[in-house]
Amino acid sequence: MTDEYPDLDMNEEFDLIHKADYEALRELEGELFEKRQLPQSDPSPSNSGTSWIVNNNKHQANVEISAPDNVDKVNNMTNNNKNHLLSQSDPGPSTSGISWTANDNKHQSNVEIPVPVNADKINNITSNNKTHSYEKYCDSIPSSSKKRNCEEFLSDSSNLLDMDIPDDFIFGIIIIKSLFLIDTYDANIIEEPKEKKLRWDQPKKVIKKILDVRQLLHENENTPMKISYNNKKNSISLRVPSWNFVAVTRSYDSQRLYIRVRNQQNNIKQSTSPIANLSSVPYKQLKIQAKEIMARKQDLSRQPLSLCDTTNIINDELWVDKYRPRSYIELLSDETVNRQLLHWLKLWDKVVFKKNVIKPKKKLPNFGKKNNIDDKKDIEEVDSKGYPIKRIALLSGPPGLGKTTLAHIAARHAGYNVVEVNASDERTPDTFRQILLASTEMKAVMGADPRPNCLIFDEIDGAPAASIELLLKFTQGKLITKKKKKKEQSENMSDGCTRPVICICNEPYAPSLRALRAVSVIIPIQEVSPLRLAERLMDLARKEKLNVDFNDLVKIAERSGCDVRACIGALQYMGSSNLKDNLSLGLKDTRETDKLTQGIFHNYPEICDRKLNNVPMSLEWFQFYDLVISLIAHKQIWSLMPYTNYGFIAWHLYLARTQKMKISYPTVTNEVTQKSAKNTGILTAVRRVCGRDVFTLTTDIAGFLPDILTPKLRTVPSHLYSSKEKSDLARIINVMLEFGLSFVQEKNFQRGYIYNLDPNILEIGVFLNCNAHRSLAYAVQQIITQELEVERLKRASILTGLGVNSENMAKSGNPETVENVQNISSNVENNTKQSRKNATSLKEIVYKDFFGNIITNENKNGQKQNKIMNRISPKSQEKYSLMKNILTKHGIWYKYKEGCNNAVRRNLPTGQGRTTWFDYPARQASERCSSQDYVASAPLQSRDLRNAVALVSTVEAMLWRVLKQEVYSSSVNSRGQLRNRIEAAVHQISPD
Amino acid sequence: MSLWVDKYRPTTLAKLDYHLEQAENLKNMVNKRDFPHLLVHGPPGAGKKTRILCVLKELYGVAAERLKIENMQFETPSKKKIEILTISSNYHTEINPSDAGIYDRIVVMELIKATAQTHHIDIGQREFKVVLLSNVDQLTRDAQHALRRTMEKYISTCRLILCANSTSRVLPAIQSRCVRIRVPAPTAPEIKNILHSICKREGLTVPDELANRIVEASNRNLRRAILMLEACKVEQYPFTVDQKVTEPDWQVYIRNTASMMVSEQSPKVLLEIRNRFYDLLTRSIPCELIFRGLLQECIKNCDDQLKKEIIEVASEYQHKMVRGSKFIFHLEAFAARFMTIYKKYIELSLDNFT
Repeated sequence: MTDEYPDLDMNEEFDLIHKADYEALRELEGELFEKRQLPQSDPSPSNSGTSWIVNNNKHQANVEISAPDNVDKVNNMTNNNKNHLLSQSDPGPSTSGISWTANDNKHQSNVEIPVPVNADKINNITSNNKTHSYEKYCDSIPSSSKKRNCEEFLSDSSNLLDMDIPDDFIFGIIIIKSLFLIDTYDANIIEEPKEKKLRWDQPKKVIKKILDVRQLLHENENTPMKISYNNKKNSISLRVPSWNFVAVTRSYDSQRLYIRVRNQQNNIKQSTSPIANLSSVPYKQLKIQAKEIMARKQDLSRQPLSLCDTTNIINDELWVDKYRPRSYIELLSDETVNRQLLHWLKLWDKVVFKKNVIKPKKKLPNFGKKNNIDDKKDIEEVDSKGYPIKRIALLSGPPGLGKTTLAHIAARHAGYNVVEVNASDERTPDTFRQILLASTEMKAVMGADPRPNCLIFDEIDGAPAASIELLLKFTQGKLITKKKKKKEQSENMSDGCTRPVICICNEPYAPSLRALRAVSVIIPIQEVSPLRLAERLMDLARKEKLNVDFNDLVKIAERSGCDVRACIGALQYMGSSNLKDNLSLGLKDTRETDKLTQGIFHNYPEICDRKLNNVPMSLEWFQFYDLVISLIAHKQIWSLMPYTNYGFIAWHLYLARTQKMKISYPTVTNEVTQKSAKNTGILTAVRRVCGRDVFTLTTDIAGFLPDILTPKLRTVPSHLYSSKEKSDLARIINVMLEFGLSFVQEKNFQRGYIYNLDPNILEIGVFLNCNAHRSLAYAVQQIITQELEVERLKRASILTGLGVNSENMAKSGNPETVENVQNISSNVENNTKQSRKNATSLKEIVYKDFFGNIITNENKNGQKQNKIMNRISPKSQEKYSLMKNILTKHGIWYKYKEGCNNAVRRNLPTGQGRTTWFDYPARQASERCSSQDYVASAPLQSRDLRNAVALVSTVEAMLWRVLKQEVYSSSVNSRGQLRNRIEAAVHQISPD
Repeated sequence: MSLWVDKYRPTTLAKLDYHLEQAENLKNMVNKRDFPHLLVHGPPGAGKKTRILCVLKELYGVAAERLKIENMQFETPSKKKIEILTISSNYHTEINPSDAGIYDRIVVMELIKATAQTHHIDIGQREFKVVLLSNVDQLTRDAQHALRRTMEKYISTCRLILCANSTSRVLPAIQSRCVRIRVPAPTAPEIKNILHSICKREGLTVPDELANRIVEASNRNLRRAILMLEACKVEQYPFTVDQKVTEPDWQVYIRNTASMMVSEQSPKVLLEIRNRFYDLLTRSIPCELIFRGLLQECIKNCDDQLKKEIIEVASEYQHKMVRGSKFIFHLEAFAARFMTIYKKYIELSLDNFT
């Protein structure tokens, strides 16, 4: 008996399992710990080990037959087994082994052979067993149930190899085994130690709990099991084995077992080699026999083969499910979060289980202090009736972090039956109500597990708002009945919700959840750190015998954004070998064909270095792709979408290379879109002023502007220009005004400042290395800027002003020269006062003819005046008429010197905020007036008001000159004051 | 105003320099009480817009010259707001619906409705307003279909003047509802006359040879010819006979690109060429022009057999380009195809030679 199992290994294992159990139980079952410690404290020696192995087998067999939690029965059976075992142990070791096995097999396969387990009979059967079972299994057509038993039998009997058993029998067994090629539906056979001790003297409860916990814990165990090297251990494993296997699930505890699948040939070779030493029959003879049997079995084995295949597929479950945490301690999410939820669930104990809530301090000794304080406010308050104040827990967090798992496990752990409602269920308010009522008011009476329900609303952010409202009303049912008694449904809601409700969502700030947020405990689930996730993945990989690099796992974890689900999925389907190359598979966005296409387009010229022949063909596929995409975009023919993918095949065939190439991300498209957006911006800015077509602008005008805008001007002050230069200057200014261009001073690294065109149309017109273009000297640009500013002011004043001197105004439509402009400006003076007022309101109204010509319609002058009068406010209208009266009555007239009409304000170092107006020589004045400094020095003037202020200064200069009074030398602090002064001055004049 | 193109633009039908008979016809048309929808088409720089503006001035007098530029807002059914630049007087509205991209249908419909439904009381002698749609050939099919119904529905208060480069992409249904006026490009002597007259009015003299060269370089595009003249003047005055006539940069750029394609054929060059295409496209040079420029330059070095082949390929690719939306694919495809064909041709001729 003891020979049969490699006891050394097994015992080690047991100890480990035991230890893990011990810890888990201490953690979970604090109060029961005392009781359990006793039976567990003495690990069984080798003798007891063997005994309970048998016991265990028996036990498992019984469990399969009877209800799993029927502990009484189990105990009885174990007792029974014990006795049985004792009786078995009487004969010599070798025979007892056989007898036991036979017994076991008989017992388990009692479907076919309805011989009840009887210790007395076993010895009788033993002698027949070999041949009997051999014949039986060889001859019978293996149905699925029979097959199972065969497998069990085989796995057990493979242990007999060491013993004195006729070779042909063993060989037959091996052959059978190889022929069956697998799967067993149930895996009771495993001699995997379950119970450390016989505990028929234990309280039922304890045993049951231990059973529960241990079953849950088996998977969590991190220490790798030693793989024993005898045949049986090679065939069945708890962990994922390296050999071919089929995974099966033990029905009563959903333990995963892995059973070896062997090829026929391989198997023979493998199995004969150990036998060669032992068997007296020569190898060749064995082989002939084997072939005979194989031939006989061939047709028989066909059917089971197909059967096996189907079960194979069924059992091939996703790792995500396989490694889903099954107990509280396996959870990967943050411990404080887990505790928080669990604690909240425990608060319901008083209501649900009618027992006192365990004091938090005792219950949660590990709680972080900070959390404790928060939680006291949030969770731990329980109202007078024992309900938690916040009756809903809202779990929120990005997908794949295990929110649903957490909710389920926590609920189950706290002793609830989980009722889940998720997005796949109908969630209209009516069905919602039904579910709510059904799950909270009722309780399963039938069935083995009469636990109270706990509602879990998964993916609640997608639920209709009405349903959420209903949920809210429902949980606060008590409040509602207090206010509005005997309303419909109020009887249902009289007590409010009596069961915990957990809601799960991705986005806690979704608008539909606003109301829910207020009344619920929000438990945000943070992302797992990539390292921790990678550790878990590594663990998983070890279990699955995947050879992966830890760094790769970290990478996967990072790339998936710590989405646990995505990571495991990626791991499963990428396998270990090419994990490194396939890292991109773990990326979440693999379906963006557009990006992929861009990437290929971007990278292919680098890749096909010399060969040009394939390029046109592959480019035709790009064209095809574009056509399909355009069709979809314009006509919404989505059925064409699949055809976009065919290009990739062609591109692969045309462009792929064996060498590894460096591939870069297609950033060009982004740059191109940015650039073209910028250029369209420039074009629209220009168009807004000149009102031309984009086509004309880009193809014709932009191409010539760089030349037209750069006349040959000397870098001398503008008053020294020859008449030709002056006309050039005037022309360039006109052009710039027409297209709304201006020079903007910008800082340059080398030279300090440079001037750039504002809507920089040159960027569109100028290409690299084409025509040589002149550029203007900095000083010339400065002059142009100044003149431009002056000209702009003048035009603004013309537009808003009222032409007194109609002859000059009429001329404005004709080709301007500098002199002409000056004439106009001299006439504008009368209107400046008025235009100052209107400048802000009327500046936008620009009348132009088709040729960009500014229209001042002198015929309708009076009419226009009236119009303006209507537009300006009554107050300013009054002032305007007053001014007009004064100016016309008294015939104030001012003739300007050549140059500019603008006076300049200069800050005096003496009095604070004191400004004086000086009559500068015209050129200087214009320069100062239009320079940036001027604007900057006047903090009161926003840039928008620049025109207006300049006009004010014109008026002031005029008045100052005419009146020769010293009114304006006094301090002028603000525009308002300035205006007052002007008015005062005007009043002073008027009596005269 | 200040550019010669604008300064010497005729403002009335009587002042037009060429196609005088057509001008006469237009004048007659305007003088009648009624006025049909117009479809004015012709190559760029032929004077379509000038004629349209002249017509408008004939219709409404000087008031039609008082323009304001403003943004109009339209809302698509998907609540997306589109802004479109309009140039309008009291009597007409000019708009380029292709600015709105695929939403041009909404723009066309809304604009015509808005214009047609407001009725000026003091409109003077005319009872209708005019909507001037430019680049009609770039309208989507939807927009053109929408146009054809609205054209009839609001005919009492609103007339359309459509302006297009070619009628090939204008629906026949629309063409039949309009009076089609083709404005051919001016002939070389006509352009030369105009250049001379402009110089005269500016007080300049231009040598005949220079004028000839400008005409040649302008490709019978009057606007471009005048701009060239002005650029020449800025460049150097008094004019000399062998003075450089500047072409727009993009043309030079395309020509350089084409010569790159001819000189070397390899994926590396293709990559450079792609970047040049991107340069052109981002500066919103129309891709048809790029294509045509390339082709014209490429086939200069080919014999007749090859020419035929390349032109065939080019036409096929351009057709695809027009139907597609990512122009760079098609441009590059043509470049690559040309390279392979040309390379084969060169290798073949070298083999024959040796």
